[in-house]
Amino acid sequence: MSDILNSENRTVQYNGPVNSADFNLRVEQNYRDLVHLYNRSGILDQKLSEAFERVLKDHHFLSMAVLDLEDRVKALEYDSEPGYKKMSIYTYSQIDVGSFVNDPTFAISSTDVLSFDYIYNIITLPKLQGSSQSKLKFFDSAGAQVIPDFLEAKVENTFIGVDTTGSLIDTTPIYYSFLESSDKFWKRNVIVDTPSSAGAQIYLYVKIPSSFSGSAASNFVSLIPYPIFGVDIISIEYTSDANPNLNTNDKWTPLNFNRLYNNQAEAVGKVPPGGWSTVGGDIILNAGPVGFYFPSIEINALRIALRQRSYTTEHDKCVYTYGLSDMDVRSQKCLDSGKTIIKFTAPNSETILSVEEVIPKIYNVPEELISTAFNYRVIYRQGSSYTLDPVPGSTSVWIEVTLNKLGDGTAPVLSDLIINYT
Amino acid sequence: MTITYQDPNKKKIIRQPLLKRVRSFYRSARKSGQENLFYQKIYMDMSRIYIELELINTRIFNRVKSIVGAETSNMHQEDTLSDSGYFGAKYYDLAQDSVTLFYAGIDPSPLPLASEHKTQLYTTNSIAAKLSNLNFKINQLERRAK
Repeated sequence: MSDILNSENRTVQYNGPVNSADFNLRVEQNYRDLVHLYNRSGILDQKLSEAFERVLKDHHFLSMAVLDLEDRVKALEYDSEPGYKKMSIYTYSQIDVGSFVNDPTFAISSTDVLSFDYIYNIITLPKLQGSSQSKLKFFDSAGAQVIPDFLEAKVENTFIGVDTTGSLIDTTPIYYSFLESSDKFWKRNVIVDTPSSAGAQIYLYVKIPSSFSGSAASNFVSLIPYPIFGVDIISIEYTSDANPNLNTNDKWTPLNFNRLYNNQAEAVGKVPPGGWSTVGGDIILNAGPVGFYFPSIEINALRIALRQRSYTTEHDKCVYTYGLSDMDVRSQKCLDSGKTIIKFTAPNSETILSVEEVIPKIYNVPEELISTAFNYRVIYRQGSSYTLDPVPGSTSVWIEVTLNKLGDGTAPVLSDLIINYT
Repeated sequence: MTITYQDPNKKKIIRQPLLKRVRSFYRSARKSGQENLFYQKIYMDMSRIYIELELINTRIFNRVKSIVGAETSNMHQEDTLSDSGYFGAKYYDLAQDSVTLFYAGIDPSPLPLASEHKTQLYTTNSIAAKLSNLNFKINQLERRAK
């Protein structure tokens, strides 16, 4: 916009400018302002195009660098254990159901194919979308998102650290985190004079507006922290109290109420934090997108503890930023069973003599029930057909994965699949 | 409109306002027609600037969206795997802008050529998912190495 307006605010009486100098000056000033505005909008457009060009190219090559990292981790994993060679899922383009469409033995009906979610790295049972629903929002007939106006959400900032009562806060509405839109995200900037080793920490309370959905039964919670990979998720708890007050007086239970994979470090990030016997052992540090399936339980409110340890300084102020760019609580209906086929290709054109072991990584099912939830077959290619018999000289194998719903209704989530081969 | 470069031959032409400077002698316009035309042109110029700013606003939003990706788990949509189409939400489709990106890897031997080409731009969400997966694998590798 114009730094200094040429046009002036004038007060005239009776019949406007009464001499030509005033009239001409007004026209001249209006004209100059219009020229300035046209120029400024053109420059803005130019700046935007140039900035976008830079972001686009940087973004592309950063993502290519991530792909290179995938390849290098793949190479490290390959040699990581003596006696075996190892492969796992690096990209979901390894899911290769399409190659078997015309195979009478291995073809999978499209309704029976396991679903996957590319953001949360989740492979799970085929979903029944028609009978599934979000507990936080719904979609109107035009497809627009609607948040019920009686949805309650609030923040409690009574922890030790910089986010306390009286702190200077710059925030967007919490409900922005429930909306699926790139320009809607919940941020909470805490602006302080001096940093704290405790960082900033809050409880986020969300009361589920079950009166619009008719039921409080939910089996899936997903979060995308903001900034991504920059916020710690300390705990996720729920209450089944009929009328929660959204404070510590409600009865809060960890979402990982079964203490699944208690104190097993590799499960951090794969189980909802806050349930392990060692307090803090399951905190997800610098969390990326997380999504958790669990048995259907009555959730009337959620309590999520978030922490920000990093900060920026600006004009002698320290700014701690945290929040969520996406959050959902769902009742996700699934089929009882489903299948998918995942392709594994040996690196460097090596051949696969035999597959010795197939290890599923499933963290929402107790270890003793993994054999119920998961089974597999190894498929080899012989000419243009496929067989279960090992084919010497194979460079690729396919693992047909079957997932089954548990007795308590839990949809197992396959986070990874490791094959040891010779 | 190009999105990966600025064509120097198509520099932005600064448009002139519709409003023209008029010189009046002695007093303001005596005729209402002239006065009304003056305000109509002011109004039209303001409308044009407003529309221009609206377009810039829309472009900002669309471009951010193409990089960030849909802020969604996509859970309310069908995302079961099939042999085609399941990449849709992971990428911004550059093909609609007639853009193809060629990439040469970092493997020094043999000399990498920019042979790998893509018409899809990974969104921030996709990259975040890949990084999550990499974190998970590196964690396991580190534990095995101990």
